[in-house]
Amino acid sequence: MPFIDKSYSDIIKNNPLLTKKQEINLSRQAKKGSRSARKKLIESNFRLVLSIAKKYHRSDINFQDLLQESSIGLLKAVDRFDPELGYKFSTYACWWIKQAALQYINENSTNIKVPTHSRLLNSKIKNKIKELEDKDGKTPTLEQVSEEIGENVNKIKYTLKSNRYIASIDASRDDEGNTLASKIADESDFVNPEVLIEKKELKRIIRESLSLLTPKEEKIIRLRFGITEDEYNNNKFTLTPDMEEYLDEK
Amino acid sequence: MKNKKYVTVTNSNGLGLHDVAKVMTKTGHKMNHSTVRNIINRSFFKLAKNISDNYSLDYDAKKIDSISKTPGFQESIVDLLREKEL
Repeated sequence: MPFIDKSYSDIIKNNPLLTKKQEINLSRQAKKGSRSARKKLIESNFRLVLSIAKKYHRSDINFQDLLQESSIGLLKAVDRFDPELGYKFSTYACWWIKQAALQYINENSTNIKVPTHSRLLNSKIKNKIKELEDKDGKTPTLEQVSEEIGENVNKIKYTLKSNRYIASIDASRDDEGNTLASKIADESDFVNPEVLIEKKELKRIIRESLSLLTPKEEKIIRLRFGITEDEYNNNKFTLTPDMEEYLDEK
Repeated sequence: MKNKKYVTVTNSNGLGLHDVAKVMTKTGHKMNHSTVRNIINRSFFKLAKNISDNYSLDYDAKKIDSISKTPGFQESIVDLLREKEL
């Protein structure tokens, strides 16, 4: 159950549903410029906003923001409602509220904005695919879906392509904070054969260069940088008892 | 970040220049800490020059000297000396 601000619940509590007659009267007065009538009409229909917002609410959408955006739909409906046509206000208002809610969801649910009509068609296609899968036990072809929905195959293909799920490569995917980028990264030497060959060549050259060092020079470097005999296969430079004694004293 | 000027030896059980000089003197190579430093510098210069020649880089002595004294270069050589199968 999403959190509802106290001010909203107060508005709903203090403004019971209007009768059709009251709606027409308030709407006529609002048309003539009565601000109090407009306010009353808005507040009395706020439960409709709440009901629609709850229906469209998803975990990745902020409910308070969705409620605010849906309220904008209600304001539009109040301003455009024509009481002389004889329809109930809620019949007219719910379309505006739904439109505002969907537009907000569409603009905020993904990083790439897709037109609302395309998103709605995508959801229609997905539902139809699921329905056909349940019925036939296999994934339907695009032609089958096209026939069922009444849209051409290219449009269905394009809609599915443009509404694909977008995953951020840098977003944390688990509790340890690993990202998709870190999982994809392959640090093995076999990724790029050219780099591997270059590295091998460099190592060969350095190995050759190391043979240019005199025993005394190499011994000094080993002592200076703490490279022990165990870490090196070459036994040319074994530690003398004097050196071992000195190192033990240290 | 300030560039590193020296290769650190504190975390690799390495000895200071004075200590290296003492060990070398005890083993029959009489020398002081300055000599140790000069031998180390000369050794890295020798390595840098050979690598430069192999890659036909045609660097002058001054350039090779500055490369051989960079911590990055010295650390790489030390790492390779540590590898068993170099």
